[in-house]
Amino acid sequence: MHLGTPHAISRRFQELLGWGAQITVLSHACVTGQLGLVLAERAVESGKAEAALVFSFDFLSPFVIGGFNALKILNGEMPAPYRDGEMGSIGLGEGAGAVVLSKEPSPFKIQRQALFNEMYHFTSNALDGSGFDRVLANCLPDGSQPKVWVKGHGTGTLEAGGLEARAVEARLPEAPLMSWKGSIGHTLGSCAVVELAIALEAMRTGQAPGNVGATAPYITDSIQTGSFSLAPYDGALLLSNAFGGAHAAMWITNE
Amino acid sequence: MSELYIQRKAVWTEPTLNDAEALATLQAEFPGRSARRMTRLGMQLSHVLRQMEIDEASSLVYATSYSETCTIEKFLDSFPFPSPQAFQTSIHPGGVEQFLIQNKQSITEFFPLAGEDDLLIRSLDTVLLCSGQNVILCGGEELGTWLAASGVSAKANYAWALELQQQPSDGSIGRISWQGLSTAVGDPAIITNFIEALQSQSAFHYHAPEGGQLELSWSV
Repeated sequence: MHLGTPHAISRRFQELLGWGAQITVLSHACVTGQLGLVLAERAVESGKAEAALVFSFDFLSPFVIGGFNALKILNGEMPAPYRDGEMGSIGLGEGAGAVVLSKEPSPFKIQRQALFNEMYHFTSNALDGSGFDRVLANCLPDGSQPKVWVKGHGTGTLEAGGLEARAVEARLPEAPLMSWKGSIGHTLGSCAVVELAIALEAMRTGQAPGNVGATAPYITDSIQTGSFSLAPYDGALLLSNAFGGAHAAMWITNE
Repeated sequence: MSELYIQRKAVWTEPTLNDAEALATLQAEFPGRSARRMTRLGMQLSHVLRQMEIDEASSLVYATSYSETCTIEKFLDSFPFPSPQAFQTSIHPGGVEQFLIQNKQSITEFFPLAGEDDLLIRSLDTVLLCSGQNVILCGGEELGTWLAASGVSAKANYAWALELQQQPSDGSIGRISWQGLSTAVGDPAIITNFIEALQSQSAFHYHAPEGGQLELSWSV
């Protein structure tokens, strides 16, 4: 049973893979991976680390499935997250991802990361969408509108999806918005790192997948329904959202 | 050497109270309806966090190994009809969220850590990476029942909080310094001894067998 704690699992990886001992274990539901990316960037930028590995994982267990089922937001018919149930629903997935951040030259550069925690309710966001807007404002200071496409969190519930889509459209009216959770599932704590890997591959190839798992009518006109060329864009904005109204954003560019 | 200066401290421990007395003392701090909804760890953390200066521009680092142990037990006991309330409350970092949500206190940076023997060192390292106008470091655990018997629970109920800054000021009451611990595995007793020193406001020195040290000292 002891292997079930996050630190015990990390310790096991440390032993198996020969990692150094300087491991910080984070746990903050679906923004966990993004928190790791924020701290890793700061550790490298401040010179406290030459490089940082962010490893994030989550797996489906009776604990998690039973919990989402109890909250009546579990989608047992993945994909198609928004079509299952009146409130929409969350189609759970499993995922693991790893990213190395360093000052070594790379085609991909983090321009800015931002966080915001509403603390409005344990399992819902403020109904005026202010939390989604605040993290966008923190990530895009002074009202800047970079030419980006936006990978939304797209948690699967209509309420959160609507708040996110409207906040993005208001801040970045020209930016296409999509979520990929209808394809790979909601990989919970690992989603930021897993979806960052997909975004980087999309930027490398110049073509990104559009929104997956929902059909018209869409919440906003900015929803990008098909795969599209990234040629018109300078970068991407990647969003995460979690219990407690926790928000995280990463603005990344490619050269 | 890394160092942080203590501006404020708060500690909850229960050495002189029996379990029922301690719980009643905590519950008396909250309105009846709130107390019924809160976990014991949530009340302990609220007790210490309400003594800190927290606003939206603050950074908050939360260090716990086992989080809401008793609620996790309740949630697991509720199968095959899992309790939505217990699931919601058991999710890390619910203990701190109980305080912040009850006080409608949004916060820009919140880093919940889940470590073990090296948790104190990792949380201090994390404080150095925070960008808030002030930084609160807090931690806590609650004693479980059957999870304790399985070795996945703390051995006592406690909570602690510190307001820390990287430079000394007139208001600094203490100093934490550490060095050479980046490769140390850690010591199970370090957090217990550290909290005892916080509570009694006494000096604390930890020397890792592999090298490296942590020191807590007070200026008042």
